Amino acid sequence: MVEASESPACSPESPPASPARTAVVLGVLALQGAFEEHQKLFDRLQRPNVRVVQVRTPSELSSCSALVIPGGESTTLRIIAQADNGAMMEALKQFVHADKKPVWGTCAGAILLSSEVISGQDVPRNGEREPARDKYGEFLGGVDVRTSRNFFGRQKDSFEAPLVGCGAYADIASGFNAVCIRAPAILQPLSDDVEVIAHLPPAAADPSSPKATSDKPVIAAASQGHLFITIFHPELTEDARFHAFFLDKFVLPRTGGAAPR
Amino acid sequence: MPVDHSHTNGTHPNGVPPVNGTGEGAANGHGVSRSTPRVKEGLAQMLKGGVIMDVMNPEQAKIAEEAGACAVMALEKIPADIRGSGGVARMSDPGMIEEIMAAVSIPVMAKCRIGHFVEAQILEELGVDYVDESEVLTIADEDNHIDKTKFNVPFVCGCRNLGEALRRIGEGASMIRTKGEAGTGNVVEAVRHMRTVKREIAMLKAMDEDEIYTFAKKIQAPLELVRETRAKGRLPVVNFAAGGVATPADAAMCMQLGVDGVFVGSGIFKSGNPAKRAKAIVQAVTHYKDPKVLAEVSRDLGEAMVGINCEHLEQRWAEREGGSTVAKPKTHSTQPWEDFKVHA
Repeated sequence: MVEASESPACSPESPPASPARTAVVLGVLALQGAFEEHQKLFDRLQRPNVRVVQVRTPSELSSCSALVIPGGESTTLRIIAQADNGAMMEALKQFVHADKKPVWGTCAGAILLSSEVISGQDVPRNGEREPARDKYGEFLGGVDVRTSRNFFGRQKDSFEAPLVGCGAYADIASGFNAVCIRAPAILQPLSDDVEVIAHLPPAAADPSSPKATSDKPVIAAASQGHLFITIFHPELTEDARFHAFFLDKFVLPRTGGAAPR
Repeated sequence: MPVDHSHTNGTHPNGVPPVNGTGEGAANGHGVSRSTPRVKEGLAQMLKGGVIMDVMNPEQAKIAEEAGACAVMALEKIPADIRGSGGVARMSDPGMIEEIMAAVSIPVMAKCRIGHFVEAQILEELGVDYVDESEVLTIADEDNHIDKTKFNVPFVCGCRNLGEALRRIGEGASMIRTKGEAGTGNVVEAVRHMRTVKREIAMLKAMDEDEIYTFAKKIQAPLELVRETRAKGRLPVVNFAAGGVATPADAAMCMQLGVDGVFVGSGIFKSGNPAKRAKAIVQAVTHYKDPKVLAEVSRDLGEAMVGINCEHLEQRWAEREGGSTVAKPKTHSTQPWEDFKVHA
């Protein structure tokens, strides 16, 4: 186990950062994708009452009071979660829907948490909702939005762009460098319970692409109750603003830990 | 392992922003920029903890996607067949690559020859998500690799040691993999290359700061990248294992040796039950530290690829590197820097 010993913050066995009070255990789903990057940004916040652990099994998940589903390949994540008769997928559904614990999905994670997922531009027939499953099984759902996978195209269409925050969120979101890698787009909320937090600037899509003709700005961040989704990757930047936002607005108020200040 | 990708903050360690072949990359009126180092390296970060599988047609690509591959490498002949058939191995037919791109939603990579920048231009035009400038194909330029900073598409390149990895990153590679010996089903060379990179990074970290200049010169790597590697304690970009991985145990061993993910080439589609083996290797990479899962997924996989013992190899592909391949003895020096060879 060459690497294991080098990652003190990675394993559930490592001692809590602060023995003084009960730490909130924040899981980062580590089935595939950029989970180490998330962990690193949470570590950078140096919150003594938050312990970040990698989660690969239902038992590791059961020790967590909140979860981050990182960027990666959403199809891959779902397939890995459905191995072993879907035990991990069931545990995740329980975590999101029954236990209603705070969950943040970035990119692939946002796709998993969307109630309706389409590919590219195939908008479904009038008013009909797409079931949240495809040939690779179910999505988790939970946020009532229609999300389009690989909306902008392939890697050549990936980009970084400054966010535009909505209303009260202008302070936290505006100007944040949104890194979008083969990113999905949140096309529209499907319920009034969804709060839109930020948009991409107009013309984020390649100007030569037909998608650019749509003048509706793409929703980049949204929340519904205990769930938070972003189509971009704050974990690929040095800016921990959204990591702090998730802890302070979603995790600590629901886990009994008070937000700082 | 501790991971720091802080150089992905938009400025490349070389201080060179990508010069984009097709003129993209500059921010438009709304501050939208494409093909930045962060965007190129970012896709590799999304592939971490995953398995990238060699596929030769859309059916295999679908099997790979259904098994949980995080990307596929489209190529006409898998390495084991290239070894068998001999001759010059080149970039695959664009039509075949496009069929694979249409068949799956996960990222698609494709290989070009070392130094063959026109094959790379063609692959970029097709819209593949990553180009592998690969020693598995016949080398096209014995002295130079592709200047990868000129492309919008990101590149992955092979390495045997730290110097080679940093030379490739210096040329603009956004992802590194070990070379191993592809097409052998024998993990021994991949292990050698992973251990070499790991050991050299450990040495670099332990060095006095005064020593890194000579170290950089010795390993023939750009000084700035040597500094960055020392500060981070790891390669500056994502690093996968490749070249000889054939079983779930091989894949998990690579992960425990500290790589970020695994390429599997001939190991899957040269085996008795490709779908089952592919799934097992995906599980092994996720649960690489859990012997219980590894024991479970290693059961009943059917025939593994036969494999070749590397001491009997006629051709070692890992030795192919632009600028260090010694093709034939030359009677006189044709270039002033002729003596400046890499001794790997």
